[in-house]
Amino acid sequence: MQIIIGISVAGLGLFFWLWGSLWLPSRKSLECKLHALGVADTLGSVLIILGFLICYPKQWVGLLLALGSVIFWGTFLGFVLARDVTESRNGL
Amino acid sequence: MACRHQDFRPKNIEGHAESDVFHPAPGFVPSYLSYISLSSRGRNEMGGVTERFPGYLEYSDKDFRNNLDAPDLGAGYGRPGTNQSASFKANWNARKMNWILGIMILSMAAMVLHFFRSESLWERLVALSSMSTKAGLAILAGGVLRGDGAVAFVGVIVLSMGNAGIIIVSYLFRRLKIECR
Repeated sequence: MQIIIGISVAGLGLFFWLWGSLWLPSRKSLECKLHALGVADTLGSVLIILGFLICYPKQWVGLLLALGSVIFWGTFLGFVLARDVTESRNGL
Repeated sequence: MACRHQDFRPKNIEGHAESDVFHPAPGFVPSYLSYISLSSRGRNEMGGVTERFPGYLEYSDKDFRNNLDAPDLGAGYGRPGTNQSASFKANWNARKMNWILGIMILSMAAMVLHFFRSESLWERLVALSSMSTKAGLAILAGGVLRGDGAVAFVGVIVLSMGNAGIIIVSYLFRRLKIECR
């Protein structure tokens, strides 16, 4: 049961990854793509790591470190990239 | 003599077959599949089971009882009622690892494709930053699924440090006032 729940959560994260990469070839604006990629990367990676935590609780040290760095860098990188894109577009 | 109904099942020391499950004939499994697959067990040229990463799989008591020189395949290959839990677990982990890493590499390949298709510098930067996160998590997943803490730690280092360079590059682009198309 534990394995089934963990694999389902990790599979949901993998689905988010693929969903985010499906937005890239469209003709939307760069901010739209950046939002989709940021959501997909952050949420999908968090879900994948949570699924591994459910499946393999013995490896909690590396998994929790990775979870913290994904949460921090995912949000921070999305914010910094969006700010730089808009400022370079508006000529600030 | 090789005839159509020859018994290719692995035999123990008394000459009896181990199980009633179909075993592919030698050459039935293409050998290049063993290079593509990331599981820890492969087949050699004679159709026997080999360990691809020596020392990773532990031999079970059943293997020593039956005098096998390679561990049994696990799922479906043991007689019912025998103790095959460790072997089954390793084999199932290996199959899971193939699927999960396959999907991860597929989404990373989409990023590489977008990198070569797009003209804009910012779009290339976004695709590469996404690929860096995905590569770190793929390393982490491979390490965790193999039960190898050292490989997982490499993934953690990539995840915690890899995005800092992207931020510096994007800051540099902004200071140079490179416009996005």
